[in-house]
Amino acid sequence: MPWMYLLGSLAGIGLIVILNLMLFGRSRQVLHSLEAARARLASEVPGLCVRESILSADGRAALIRDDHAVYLVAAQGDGFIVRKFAKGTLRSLSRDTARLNLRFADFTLPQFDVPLADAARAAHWQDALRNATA
Amino acid sequence: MNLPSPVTLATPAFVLLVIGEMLYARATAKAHFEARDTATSLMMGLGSTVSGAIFAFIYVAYAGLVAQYAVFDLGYSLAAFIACFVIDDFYYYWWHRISHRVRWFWADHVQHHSSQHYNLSTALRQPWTGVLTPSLLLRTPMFLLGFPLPMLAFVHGLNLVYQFWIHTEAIGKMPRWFETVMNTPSHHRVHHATNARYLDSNYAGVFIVWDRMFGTFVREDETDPPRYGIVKNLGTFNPVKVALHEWVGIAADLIRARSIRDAFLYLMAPPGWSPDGSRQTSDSIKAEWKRHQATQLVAGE
Repeated sequence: MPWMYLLGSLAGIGLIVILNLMLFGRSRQVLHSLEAARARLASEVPGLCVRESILSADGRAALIRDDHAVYLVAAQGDGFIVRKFAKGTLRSLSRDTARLNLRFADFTLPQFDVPLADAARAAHWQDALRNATA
Repeated sequence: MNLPSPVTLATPAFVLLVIGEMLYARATAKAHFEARDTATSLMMGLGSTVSGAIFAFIYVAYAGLVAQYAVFDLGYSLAAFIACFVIDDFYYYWWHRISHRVRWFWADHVQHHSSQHYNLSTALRQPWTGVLTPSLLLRTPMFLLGFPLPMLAFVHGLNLVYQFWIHTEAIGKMPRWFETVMNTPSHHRVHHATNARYLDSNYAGVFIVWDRMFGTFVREDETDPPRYGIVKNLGTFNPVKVALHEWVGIAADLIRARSIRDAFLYLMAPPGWSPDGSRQTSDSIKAEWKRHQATQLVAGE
């Protein structure tokens, strides 16, 4: 009987999720502009004063630096998550030409890649992240 | 006396109402759903039911043990039911407040707050790990008072059923008298928000009067719409990771702790506490926000 209850519940969950997909599709959030990324971050960081920022090539993330820290704003489902870079935030940081490979010390976000427009900008932000997490 | 489980009885209504809210959201855009988020919430609900069933024997054994020393025998009168419901809600307020202010409890409760959405499926996003917290010990006075244990389970179920409908953006404000006394969608949206002004407020289960009495009530401000989730939102929809993430964080901190005092505070201080103050607690976030508001006010003068 418990197994029937469990299987029935799983089937019910499956049907509700399918209905959700049919009604709203599979959302994939994109940052349309740097302004949108800054506005998203400003809602979480009072008094944010942006020094420099860059949008990823796929529009799924942005790196933003203010006077005090560097932040990642990344698409997650139909929303966004924010990560502040500080000592201990990253397990490793590497670059593959224009793509930054971030390995976080974060159980729910172990890795995130940020493809940038060109290798020079990727190298610049790699340095910025290295300094922020040193 | 055999009493039914209100949550079990209400489950078909929960399902129909979630579907109804989805259709309403599609038609009006006054509520928001995301398939993976919904799936996570529903799987958390199912997992919570399973873990509750597995560990129910601990609750039954402890409650039975303590009830032997009950001061009164309050029986099953209507007055006892009403008193039990009100006292249980009072207990719920304090348990909920502690769950936001002590990381050990938060590690369990954070699972309910982990969605960036606020719809009826969020109500079903329930934690799996209550057995790892001392929550049951907090109920000891309830057992000692002498309410029959089936009655305690029944009124607690009613409390949870009440809280289902307040997890929605589809309802604006209720009539004023109702907003004054009862917990409502508006009050609970504030509770689920991460906006600095809303942090650590509106802990009520059924009666919002507890928040008004104990100074934790915050009204929803139309000029500052709630942003839902947690201060550091999760980078996953995996329900197992949702259930375990704060426990993993605590374990890592305990391993790193340089003293017994630090280890104790990693567990018992508010979420976000760290020995060097490098992380943010809700208090520090609110203080920073207030400082910024004051600066803006001065700049505007």
